[in-house]
Amino acid sequence: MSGCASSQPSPKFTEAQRTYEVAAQGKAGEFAPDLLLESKKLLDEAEAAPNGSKKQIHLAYLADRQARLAASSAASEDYQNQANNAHAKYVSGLEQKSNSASEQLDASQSRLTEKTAALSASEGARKEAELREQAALASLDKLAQVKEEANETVITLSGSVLFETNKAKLLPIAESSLVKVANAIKTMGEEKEIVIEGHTDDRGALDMNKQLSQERAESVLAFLAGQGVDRSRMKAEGKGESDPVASNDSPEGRANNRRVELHISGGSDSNSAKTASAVRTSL
Amino acid sequence: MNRRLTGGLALSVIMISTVGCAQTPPPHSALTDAQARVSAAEAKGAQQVPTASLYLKMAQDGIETARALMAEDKNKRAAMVLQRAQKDAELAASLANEDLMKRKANEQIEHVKSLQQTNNARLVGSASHG
Repeated sequence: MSGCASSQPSPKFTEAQRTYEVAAQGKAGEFAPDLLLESKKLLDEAEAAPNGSKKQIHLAYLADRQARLAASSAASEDYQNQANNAHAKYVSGLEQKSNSASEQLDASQSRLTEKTAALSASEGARKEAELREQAALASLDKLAQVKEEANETVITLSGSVLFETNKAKLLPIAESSLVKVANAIKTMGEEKEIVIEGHTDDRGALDMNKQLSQERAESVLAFLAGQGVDRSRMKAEGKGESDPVASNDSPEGRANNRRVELHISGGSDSNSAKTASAVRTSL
Repeated sequence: MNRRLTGGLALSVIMISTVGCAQTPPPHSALTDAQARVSAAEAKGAQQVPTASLYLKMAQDGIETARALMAEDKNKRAAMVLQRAQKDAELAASLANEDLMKRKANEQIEHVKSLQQTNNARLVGSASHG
């Protein structure tokens, strides 16, 4: 029996040894030490078995598979770790993406808040301007008187509201009221004639007052023409201080005397009451 | 005396005969175990993984060989063949699992690369807008 035993170990044993060494040098020692140890035990048993015997070949076979199993199991563990690390990086990347999106959202919201605040301020300013304009118009309405006389309608506008002192240039606020006047005139018949009279108080030189009242009447005429009222229907007359409606002895009286009157007359529609009503409605 | 001697001799002959005829019982349990391991390897998709399919085939062949040996009452040899088939099936399952883990790891790594590229593009985009 011993005579049949070879002096050399079985090639299967040598192969199993190499497989074991490869596994041990790899990650099996770290990730699958139990499986590797089992392979070593089988290898030791094979080594102890008679060289070339069926027992040695059988044990070497098992040791080889066990070493491969250890290597494969370790590789799986290694891949699992790689997957876990990659997943952690992915989650971290998602958080980074989320944070970046959140920062961008915050920035957008911040910009939106700023714009809303600016818009609100702008809206507030606009409302304030509207209120000022309404107040000014209200004061103008109080000062724009409409009277019906026998054959004409007379609209009287306070000079102090239309012009700066001693100047013929219309104040911006007066233009709003004159736009309404222009619209009212345009609703009347095309054949109506409009005489625009400028009046002053009695302070200052006569000639100067005459000239100032003329220039003021012409300013109103020019503005109304600019608003679409036919220029050929209008005429400007500077009356100076010649036609007061109140005493020049008091400040209130002088203020009433500083005025521009629009005398609207003529045309087929001779009903001045109707014309005045139309003007009031427009104003 | 002769009768006693005759009886003792007869007993010895029976004992020797029993030991001499003693056979390894059929390795049914090992066969069942090997079959279960082959099924487990197949469930892990070992057939579709080249390295795993090689060992799966060896396990299946081993089971067939063992059955044939058991049919011939060569149970000891069948038990050894089944022992190898068990290891082959176990290795096939492990290699199939390794392949799966490898693919999952690669998928995760690709996801990360894709996300990093997206994030980098966003950073570049936001930097150019800012």
